[in-house]
Amino acid sequence: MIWFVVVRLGQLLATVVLTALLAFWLCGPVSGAREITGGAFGWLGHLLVGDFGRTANGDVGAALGGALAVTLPLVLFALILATAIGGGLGWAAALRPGSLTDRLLAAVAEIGAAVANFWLGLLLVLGFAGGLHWLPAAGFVPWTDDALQAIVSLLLPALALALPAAAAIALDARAALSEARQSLPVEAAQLRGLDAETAFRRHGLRLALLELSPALALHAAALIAGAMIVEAAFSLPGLGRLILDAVSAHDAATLRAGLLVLVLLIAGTVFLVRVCAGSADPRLTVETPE
Amino acid sequence: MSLAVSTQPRARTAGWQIGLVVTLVLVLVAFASVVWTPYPVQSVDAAAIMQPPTNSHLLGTDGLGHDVLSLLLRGMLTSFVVAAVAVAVGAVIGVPLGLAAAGWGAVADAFVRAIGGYIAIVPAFALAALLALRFGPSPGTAMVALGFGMVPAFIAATRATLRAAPRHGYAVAAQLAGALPLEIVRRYSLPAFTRAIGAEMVAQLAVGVLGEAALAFVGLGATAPATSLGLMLREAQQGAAGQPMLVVAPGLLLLVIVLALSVTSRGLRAQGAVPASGATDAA
Repeated sequence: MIWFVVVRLGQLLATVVLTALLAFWLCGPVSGAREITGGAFGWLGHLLVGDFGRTANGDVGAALGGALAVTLPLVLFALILATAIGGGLGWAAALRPGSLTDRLLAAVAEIGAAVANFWLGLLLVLGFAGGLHWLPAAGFVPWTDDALQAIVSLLLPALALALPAAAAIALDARAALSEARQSLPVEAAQLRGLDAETAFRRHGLRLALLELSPALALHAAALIAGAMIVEAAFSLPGLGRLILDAVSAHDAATLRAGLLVLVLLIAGTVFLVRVCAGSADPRLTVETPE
Repeated sequence: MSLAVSTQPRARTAGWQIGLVVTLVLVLVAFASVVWTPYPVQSVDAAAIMQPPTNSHLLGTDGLGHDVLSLLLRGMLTSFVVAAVAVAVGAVIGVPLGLAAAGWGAVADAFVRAIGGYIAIVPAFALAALLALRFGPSPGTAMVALGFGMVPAFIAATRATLRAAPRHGYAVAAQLAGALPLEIVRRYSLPAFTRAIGAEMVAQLAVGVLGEAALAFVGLGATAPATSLGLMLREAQQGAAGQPMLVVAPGLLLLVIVLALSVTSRGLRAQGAVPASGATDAA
C-alpha cells in the first residue's frame, strides 16, 4: 500500500513538472512586465518558492488565490453532490436489475448525461433567478463580505456542474453494481449460506468499486474541467475566468500559471480518488498488466 | 458457470436503431443547411428583432434579427464538422499508439499508457486556451484541442480489443483447426477491431459535439461571423432577457444530438460485444 501511494505520488509529480515545462514552452514569451530569468526551469524554481510572477495587473499568485477561493469550493461541492446523487441512483437502479425502476432510472441517467452543464446553468439562471427571484442570477459575493451569501451564490453553479456528472456516474455505478451482484465471490458466499443482500454487501461492493474507480477518476477530472465552463455561465470570478481573461488579454504569464494550477487540481483529485479506491480494495494497489 | 437463473439486465439495444436514425436525419439536415435554410443565415430582419416564435419565424429571431431556426441548422453543421475532424485527429493519433501498446511488448505498453494517462489529465479546455493564445480562437484550434483529448479513449479501445481478440473462443478454435495467425487476424480480429473503433468514434463524436459547444460558449471556438450552438448560447447569455427561446432551443438541439450519438454508440458497442460467458475463459 505504501509503495502504491509512493508510485502514485511520483506520477503526480511527473505530471505537474511535465505540464509546467509544456505550459512554459507552448505559451511562448511573456510580453512586458518582469520576465523571470532562467527559462522554464527558472520558472519552475520560482514556482517552488511560491513566486508565480507578476504582470501589469499585479501579482499572478494573488490573482490565482482569489480565483481558487471560488473554484475550489465550487468543485468540492459539486464533486460531493455528483458522487452522492450518482452513486445513490446507480445503487437504486442495481437493486433489482431489469426491473421497471432500473430501466426508468437508466433512461433518465442516459438523458441527464447528455445535458451540457453550462446550458443547465443558463436554464437554472433563467428559472430560479430570472423567473422566481429566489437566488442570485450570477456573480459572486466575496467570502470576506458575507460568507453565507458566498455559499448561496455557489449553489446553482454546483448543481449545474453536478447533475450531468451524477447521471454519468449513475450509469457506470449501475453497470458495476449489477455485475458485482452476479459475481463468483457473491455466488460463493450465497452457497455458504449468506443471504443475497449480505453476500453482496460483504463481497460484491468492493468488487464494484474495483470496476468503478478508474471511471470515477475520469468523471472527477471531467467535472473539474467542466467547472471552467460553468463558471462562465454564472459569471463567477474563478479559475476559468482567470484563464479566459488571460487568453483575451494575451497574458502568457497568467495563462501558464492558471493552466498549471488547473492540471495540478485535476491530477491531485485523480490521485486522491485512486488512493481512496486503493485503500478500499487492495487489489487495485497491485499493478496488473490486464 | 452461473448457478441461479441469470438476472443480468439485457443489454439495452432496443432503442439504439432509433438513435441511429435520428443521428442520420440530423446529419442530413445539417449538411442540407449548406444549400438551404428557411432564411439566409446572415440575413438580418431589422423589423423583427427578438421576436417570439411566429409563423414567419418558427423559432423567433435573435437580438440582431437573425432567424433562430436557420441559425440552429447551420450551427448543427459546425457541431458535426468540428466534432468529426476532432474524432479524426484523435483516431489518427490514438489508434496507432494503441496498436503499438498491444503489439510491441511491455515497454511500449507502459510508455503508451503513460502518454494516455497524461493526456487524460490535461483537459481539452487547457489545450484550447493555449492554442487560442498562440493562434487566436477558431474552430480549427477547437478541433485540435478536442481531438487531442480523445486520444486516450482511442488508445484504450484499440488496446483492449486487440488484447482480448486472440483469447476469444472462436479465435482459439480457428487456431486449433490449423488457421495461420494472419488468417485469424483477417477473419476474426479485424472485424471485431473495426466494430469497436467504429463504436468508439460515434461515442467520441458525442464528446466532440458537447466540447465544441462548450468551447464556443467561452469564446475559445467559433467566433462571431461563424454560427455554432455554443456561440448562440453565448450571445443569448449576454442579452436574452425576456426571450427564453434563445437559451432553450440551442441547448435542446445539443441534447438531442448528443443523446442520439451516445445511444447509437452504446448499441454499436453491444452489437460488437462477444457474449461474455465462457468466451474469455477459453484461453
